[in-house]
Parts: sequence; C-alpha cells; structure tokens
Amino acid sequence: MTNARILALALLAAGTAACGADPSAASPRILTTVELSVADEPAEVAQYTHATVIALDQYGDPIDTGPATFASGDRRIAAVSPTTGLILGVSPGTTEITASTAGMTAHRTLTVFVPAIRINEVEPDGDAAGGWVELYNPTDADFDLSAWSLAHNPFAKAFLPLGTTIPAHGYLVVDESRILGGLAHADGVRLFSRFGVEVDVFFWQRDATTSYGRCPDGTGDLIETAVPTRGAANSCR
Amino acid sequence: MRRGRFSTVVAVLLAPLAFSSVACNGDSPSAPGSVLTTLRLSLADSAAEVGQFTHATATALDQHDAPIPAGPATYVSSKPEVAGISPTTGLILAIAPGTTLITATVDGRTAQRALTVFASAVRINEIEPDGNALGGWVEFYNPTDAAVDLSGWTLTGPDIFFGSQLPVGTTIPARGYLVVDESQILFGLDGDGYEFHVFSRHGVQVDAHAWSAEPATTFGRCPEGTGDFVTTTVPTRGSENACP
Repeated sequence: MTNARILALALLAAGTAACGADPSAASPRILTTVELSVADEPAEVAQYTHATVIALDQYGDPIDTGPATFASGDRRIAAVSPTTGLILGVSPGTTEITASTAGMTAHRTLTVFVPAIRINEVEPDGDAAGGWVELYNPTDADFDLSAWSLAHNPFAKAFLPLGTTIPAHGYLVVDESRILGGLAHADGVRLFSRFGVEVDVFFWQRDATTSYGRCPDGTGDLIETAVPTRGAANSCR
Repeated sequence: MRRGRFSTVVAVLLAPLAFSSVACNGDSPSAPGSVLTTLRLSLADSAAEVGQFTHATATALDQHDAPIPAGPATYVSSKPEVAGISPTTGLILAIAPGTTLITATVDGRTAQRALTVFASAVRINEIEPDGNALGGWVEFYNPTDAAVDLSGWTLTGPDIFFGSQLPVGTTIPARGYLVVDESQILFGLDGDGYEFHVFSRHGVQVDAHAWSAEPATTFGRCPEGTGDFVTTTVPTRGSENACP
C-alpha cells in the first residue's frame, strides 16, 4: 500500500470507531452512561406505563449490565414495580423515577395528570330522546377521547369509539342515543377517562327550559343557560 | 478541503468515511435547505397485551437525520381486528392476538412497523377454597420463559365488578408460581357453588374456574399449567400439581 492509502484506511477506521460501529479496534467496553426513558410522559392517573433502562458503553453502544431496579420518589404520585419498571399513575403531581444498574443511576421526572376535559353543556330534553352532552377541551392541544365513556351508572358505560378526538379549545357533542339509559328529566351524567377515572360529573333535579351550561364557558358552574348552544360557547344569562 | 491533498484513489476511500460520520448522528453541520428525507415510526410498546393502550409516534427527519417540522401524520392498522389505531393521534388499542402492520403517512412519505398483540399465558393452576373458612388460596402459574408483572391484575368471585387488585410490584417468575391467600381476595372463596375470575390490568379476563362442590384436596390443572381442572391427590401450594 502507498502511505496515502494507509493513512486513508486509518482515518476510515477512526471514523467508524467514533461512530461506535466497530469497537473491536478500541479499548475494552466499560459502562459509561445509563439512560432512562418512560413510554408515556406525562401519564394520566390510573394509566399504566413503563420505564426502560439502556446502559451504554463509552462508544454509545448498548451494553449488558444485568437487571435494573426502579424506584419512585413519591409513591403517592406514581408507583413503580421495582424489578420490571411498570409504572402506575396514582394522583396528579410530579415524581422522580430512578433506575439503578451496575452501580449507576439515572433519573427522569414523570408528571401525572387528570385530563382537563369537562362536561360543558347538558340538554336532557326531558324524558324525550333528543338530548345531548357537550364536552369542552380547554387545552392548547387536540385530545384523544378514544374509549372515554359517559354514564349515569358507572357499571353501564357507553364508550366513545377509537379515533374520537376533541380539538384544542373545542367541543365534542355526544347525542343521548349513544348514552346507555339516555338522559332523563331528573338524572345525571359522569365522564370517565379511558383509564376509568371519573373526570367530571353533573346531576340535575329537573329538566332545564334551555340547557345546563358552564358559566363562564368552560370553567364556571353548570347553570341554566339563556339559550342552548350545541357545539359552541355557552350563552350565559 | 482534504480532497485536494490526496490522490483520487484516496478520495474514493474517504468517501465512506464522510458518509459514515453523517449517518452516525444528527449533529453534523446543518446544511441549508433541510428536506423531509425519512419518516421514523416508533411504537411505545413493540408487543402489546390484549386490552392494552399504547401509541405510535411518527417523526419526520431531514437528510441529516435531524427532526424537522412536517405536516400532520395519519395512522392506519393493516388488521383492525388485531389492533385499532386512532387515525390522527396514533393511539393504539390492542384487540386480539396476532400481528398487524402500523403505517404512518406524513407529507406523502410512509413508515411501517409491526405490532404483535398477545394474550397473557398466565393461568390459574390450583385452587384451595378451604370450605367457607378463611384458609384458602389460589396458585397461578407462568408457563413462559420470562417473569410476568402482575401489578394491577384483578381477582374476583362471581360478581366481577367487585375484586381485589394485586399491588404494584407483584411479579410471577418464569416457569414459576404465585400464591395469593384468600384473605387478599374480596369476599374470599366459598367451598360450594362458587367462581373465581382473574383479569389482567387491562381489564381482560385471562382465566376463570367455577365449581359446584368443595374438593377433598384442591382443584389443580392436570397436566400442570395446561390441562383441565381436576381434584388433585394432595394440595401442592406453590409447586407442581399432584395429579391423580
């Protein structure tokens, strides 16, 4: 080989070693960093998710370090299975998930929340079948309501189909015909997340002349509105 | 540039080096005119259990493998009977055992990833109702080669709306057993005319057994872990069943 070719091959070898693709030409692999990831961040209350540890050598390549152990800084916020990293969101807040393997630890902050989706307007329509429930999303992001449910009886839930979303600062109307048992003259409706958490509830003693709506829109109490506003901001007296 | 100082042969040899350093990470100098080059599709869980929600995330990458803004993603599942997917958000619901191909599309580019849906293989293996006394227990068996996390699994009697959840951190070892005492099961176990159900943390019934009369010994699967429930010759709490 010419000197130039040898130099080029050396450069090539150095380049691939720096990429971590060929550790054979380098020093022994040692555990250098431990990375911790959480499959769902943030996680909802009652949601199961999981932490995963990846141990990396000095080249950034995965290295086997044996089993990891996991812990949650605040078990009131999230519990974690010490050996498997399975996580259960318990109540709103933040907790630090810690993973340890081969004497090294990694941390990640996990936020647990209850979605801010609210029952915003209810038109019971007496004991007739023309009623509806309007939901409101006060956040800046579209939200997936797949498998959320509406019910009077928590054991007889009507689930929203997979693919149901509510737009950011927008509304979703669910017709009475899709709610098991419908909406009666004096009745109630509960809203459950897909993890079974009761996110909102509203009971009424008698039918409204108009509808019941949150005043101010999206945040206030549910009171009789001036006029029903299906799928739009409430008309408050 | 280096190229001017080397022969053409060397330039050819250097070309893979330049290529490899670009391919290795996204921190190479960002060239002007980033264009959508590849679409990366990742799944939060590469295998999901029946009843589990998981999600797909599509990331648009430029020619340097750096994330770039792109239009909204749409998602589809090749076998909706295996797993359904929310077309706009990528939320996935695992429905039945099998394999489905998840496809994401962004600005005309597509990426695919296979998702395997499985049903838990953990089984009720032995039951000691202990009459209407409180000394009963239920033994589970894990026939797989990996430990299974049973956190949040629910045990119930005939009324499946009222059960006891196994605490977070409950695991069953590979090819091993887990015994749950009657005292940890809401409403316990009755000797005559009773049922026992076990639901995964995703609310799916994994196994159940109903009996009409108290066994002299215990009810156990024969053969171990796979057969029907029969009356065993002797109780074998936490170990292999004694089959008649």
